[in-house]
Amino acid sequence: MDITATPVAGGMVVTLQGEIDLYSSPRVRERLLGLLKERPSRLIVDLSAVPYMDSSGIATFVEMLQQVRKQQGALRLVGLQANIREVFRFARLEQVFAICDTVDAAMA
Amino acid sequence: MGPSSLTVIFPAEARWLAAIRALVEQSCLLTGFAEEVTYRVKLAVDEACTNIIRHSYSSRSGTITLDVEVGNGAMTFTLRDRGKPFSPEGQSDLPRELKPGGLGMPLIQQVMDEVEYSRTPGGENLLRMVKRLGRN
Repeated sequence: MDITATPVAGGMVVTLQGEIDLYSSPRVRERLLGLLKERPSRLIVDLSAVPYMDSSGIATFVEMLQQVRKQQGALRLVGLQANIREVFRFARLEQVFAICDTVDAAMA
Repeated sequence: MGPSSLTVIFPAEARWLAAIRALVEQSCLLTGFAEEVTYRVKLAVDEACTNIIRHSYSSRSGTITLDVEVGNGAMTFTLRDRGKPFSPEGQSDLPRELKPGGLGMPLIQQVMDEVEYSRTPGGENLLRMVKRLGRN
């Protein structure tokens, strides 16, 4: 799992690359929680290079969403592949998260 | 193609999950499942293994046995472990409030056509999941 964070005007873009499962999600969680300590007004997570995500990945993003809301910020998920979008739909969370097609759209 | 099966025994550790997913994926594709169905089945087996690692063994050491059987127009995945008894009853519904966790068993139930849990007299948890060919 590769994780890169790029500061942008008014927030942070985090790009994840690789599969998110029980093995990799603790690292994703730790990194995102670390970035949230900087209290970005908007955390944009680019998932376009994530081909697989299980419920531990979803749980990580649920926790981030709760954290971001406490900080009165925003979390946007970008570039979900169709299979992963379906997992969010199965979990009835597709409407709970702000999901955008591109990073540009998420920054708008 | 006649009935066939394979069995793999692996450590109940998260780092093995990618290898198990690869095995499930290839088995499904060889059996003739469509790619999107293969993805869902892979997810379901992964979620079941994750539950065993996290809840049955509570991250203690142990092994998981996965039997994959193909026959009668279906694939059957049976997972066995010797951890704490784990019943999927009451775990099948999605959480009512927004919280991290509690999604694994509902996802499995949505994907698989049959899901059965039993605790064997020998002290094993046994989770049997069936996916029929031709179903989404």
